[in-house]
Amino acid sequence: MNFDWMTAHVGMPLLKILILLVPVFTVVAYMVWFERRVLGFFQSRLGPNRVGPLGLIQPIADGLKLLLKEDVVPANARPFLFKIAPIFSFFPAFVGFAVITWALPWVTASGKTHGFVVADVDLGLLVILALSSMGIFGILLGGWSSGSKYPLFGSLRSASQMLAYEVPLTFSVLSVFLLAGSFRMSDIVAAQQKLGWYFLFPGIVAFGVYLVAAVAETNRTPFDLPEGESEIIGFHTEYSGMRFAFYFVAEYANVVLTSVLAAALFLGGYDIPFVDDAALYAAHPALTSILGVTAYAVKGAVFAFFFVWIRATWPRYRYDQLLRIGWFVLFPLALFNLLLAALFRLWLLR
Amino acid sequence: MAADRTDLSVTSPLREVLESREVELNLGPQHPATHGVYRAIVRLDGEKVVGIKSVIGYLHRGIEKWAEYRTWTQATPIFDRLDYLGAVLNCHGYVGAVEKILGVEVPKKAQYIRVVLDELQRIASHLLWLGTHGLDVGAQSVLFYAVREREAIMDLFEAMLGQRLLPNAYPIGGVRFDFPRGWVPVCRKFLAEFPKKVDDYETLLTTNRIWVQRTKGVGVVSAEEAVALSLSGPTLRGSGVNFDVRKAIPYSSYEDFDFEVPLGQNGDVYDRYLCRIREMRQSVRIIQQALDGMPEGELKGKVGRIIRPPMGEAYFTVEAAKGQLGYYIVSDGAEKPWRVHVRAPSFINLQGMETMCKGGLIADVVAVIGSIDIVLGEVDR
Amino acid sequence: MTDETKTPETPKPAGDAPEAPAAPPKAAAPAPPKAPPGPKKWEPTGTVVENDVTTALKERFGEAVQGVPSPCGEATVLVEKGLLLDVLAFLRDDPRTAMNYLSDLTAAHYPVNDRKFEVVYHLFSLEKKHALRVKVKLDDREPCPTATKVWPGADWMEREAHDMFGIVFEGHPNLEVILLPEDFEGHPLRKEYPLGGDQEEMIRGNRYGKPVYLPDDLEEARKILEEERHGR
Repeated sequence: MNFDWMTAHVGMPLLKILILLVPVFTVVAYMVWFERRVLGFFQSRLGPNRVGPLGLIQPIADGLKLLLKEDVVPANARPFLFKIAPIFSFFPAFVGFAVITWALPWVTASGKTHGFVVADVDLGLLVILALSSMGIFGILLGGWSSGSKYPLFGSLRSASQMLAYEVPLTFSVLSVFLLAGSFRMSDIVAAQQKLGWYFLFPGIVAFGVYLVAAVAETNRTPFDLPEGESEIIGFHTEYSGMRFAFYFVAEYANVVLTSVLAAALFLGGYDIPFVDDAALYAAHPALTSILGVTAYAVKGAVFAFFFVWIRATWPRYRYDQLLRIGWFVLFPLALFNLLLAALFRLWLLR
Repeated sequence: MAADRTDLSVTSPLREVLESREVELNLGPQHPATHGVYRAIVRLDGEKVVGIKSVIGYLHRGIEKWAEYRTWTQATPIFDRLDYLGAVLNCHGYVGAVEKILGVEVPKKAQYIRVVLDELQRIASHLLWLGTHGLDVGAQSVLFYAVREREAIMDLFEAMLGQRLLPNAYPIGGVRFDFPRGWVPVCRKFLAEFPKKVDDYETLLTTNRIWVQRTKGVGVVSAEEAVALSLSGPTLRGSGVNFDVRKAIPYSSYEDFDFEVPLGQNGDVYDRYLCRIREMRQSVRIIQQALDGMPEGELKGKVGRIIRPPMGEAYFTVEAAKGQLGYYIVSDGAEKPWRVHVRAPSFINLQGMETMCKGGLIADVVAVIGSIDIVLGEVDR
Repeated sequence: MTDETKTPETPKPAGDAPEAPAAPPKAAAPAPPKAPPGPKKWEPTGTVVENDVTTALKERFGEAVQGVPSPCGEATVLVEKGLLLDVLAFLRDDPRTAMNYLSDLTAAHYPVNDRKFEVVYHLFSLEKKHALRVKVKLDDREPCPTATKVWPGADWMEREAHDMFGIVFEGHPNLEVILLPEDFEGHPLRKEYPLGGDQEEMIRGNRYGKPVYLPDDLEEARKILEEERHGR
């Protein structure tokens, strides 16, 4: 228990959490702004543009408004479950960011090199998958404890939908595992750098499956029937104020998380394209890391834009069609893709 | 009433727990997708619709009674408020009925002007239908594009009639004014650009897999059922029945114009959607022909200052955007109507909800409501 | 809630409405020198129009079907209530008439006529493109056979006529109120029902009450005002 140990095992992680949380919260909040603005442009109107320059203070204004709203618990609801349900959605979405490596390590403190990751666990990818499964509890609990038919319907639909699409998602991620040989996020990026190609190309089918499954997992259009605003309003019908904000922010955090994950798994993460990272790292580690984070952010932003683009364009699927796609189309495709990935791995290993 | 009971050879408490019941869901009067204050009590077995009961009357304003307390001319503005999205057509119906019972001859020029304004109103109504229907089914952006086109038509109406939405367009006997200076070129410009916009909407929706899957085979009503239920308008023509009042009972010089009546085949939501899109294109054709062949002449027939029709009754129908809009008026020789009855197409089309929704899923109910294109002002009067 | 027990709400029954069957405001017009026009029976003017449909009807039913004059050239027939369903079924099924489309079904109230209500059917043939108006005259409280057996689309139209006029359609599957609230009393489109409904006094009448001339004594004045307030 000396200073070095404390720094390495308590101080640095806390610092990393702080450094991670602030940008992540900001990015998630501004994802809302980004979506509203981009949706507006798609729909030949401007998005928020009054509150601050380009409407940039809009998320803060929204957050303040939601904080100041009256706390309504419906009479028919189960109070305790009603109040804690949003936490179950909120929590996993943000914890998933802890296992993502953001750049090659260059900070040395107290004799130990600290990577740009809060928790570089061996099974980083599995942790994220497990956490996303936990997110379903929030929806189920929230819908059931609201005590009314609309949220109940919405939450049941959402639960079956997320279950149906968890499986193809897991399989596509497993394909990446097969290609990379490890669940650790930094290893996956390293494997892509070693291969010379991003996993997009060998794993194109996995990429397709992942995209569709990710859109369904995050309850986004065209799979947003559970929160289908024009029909059964959804599991959050009875929620208002900050509780609703929790669900809302959890959804956007999920979107950001899946975008970042897609960038890591298929587009190389913090690998700077067209540049020899190893050489650059040997020469200027700080510059590599900064450029790496920037490249990562850009790749994630591309996916986020893709999410918004689809929302602006396509209608939503009906519930039974949605499940049919999940089980009868994506699942076989994901299995087939696993086979392909295994074959590719064998070819790599020969 | 209880759905399939699986054969459980267990003790009764478990059987009670696993028995399924029908759920009654209230698609209440306040709902984003019911196009107004319309309430549908849907009986569901899981997600399947077993029965649907419509409750209307939330917007009942007693228009028919009110019309009996005003003179024939004073009563004209209220009929705009029936189908408030297709007001000019409502006005045409009422005014046509009064002209019929009076025996007033509307001059040819006035008839052509009426055709132009009617068809513009039809395009506007169908545009808003497209936007809201798309929004209900999930395509959020179509609403904004449709409303943007509608703005052009609203501007035309404002220049010609003084009002965007409820213009009280026609006096009894003709039209009030000719086209203002510069109106016709603006209208022609709109007509030149509009078909391309409709192409855009079709690109977005007609061949979109998701749209087709959501709307094909949904809300089917066969031709015989549709005729028996007295449906009209695109709701009827989607089932393949060729009944368009403009062709069947021509009024206001519609027989001079060359246009097609789009028909569907299957009677589902997709066919009705296609019917309305094609009707928009046909309306553009009609307006162009009317503007090209505009005759000279008077704007208004000979109508006295105080209208006292002979004792009797008349029934006059027009093809409104929603269907066949009819006015049955009874006069007792006084200057106030004795009875005015509005044959509202949305009211009668809404009867078909039960037939169309049975056996579908609850998400289809919303699509069907959108495809019937109801306006609660007309349903409830 | 659906049958003859539903009475009009106003004190004046339908039978004796000697003053102003048209509208109260007409009689309250500012003092015309001549007497207001008395109530007159409603008889349509014009000429009787014959077309294929009426010819076929006359062949089949003879004198039970009478032509009604029309001022604007619409074929109209008047039918006895007992024959109504037969006539409608004949019109729908016979190949010469082929009136498969019920365009409108409505009613009208003529308080001064012998038979006070008329139910009016507008029929149309989609193939032959001819139209016909069929009328049936009814007394107050006299039920009418339902047309839903012939055209299911008559369902809501008859419910509306029942709502508005109180005409009972026998054999209707679901004769409930459709446009009015379930607990509504009265039939609004009858001529004796005031436009303002049960708030007629408030809306169209003297909404502030008659002027009260108060005595000089304060106590008496207070008593009168209290009575006024409680009486309302």
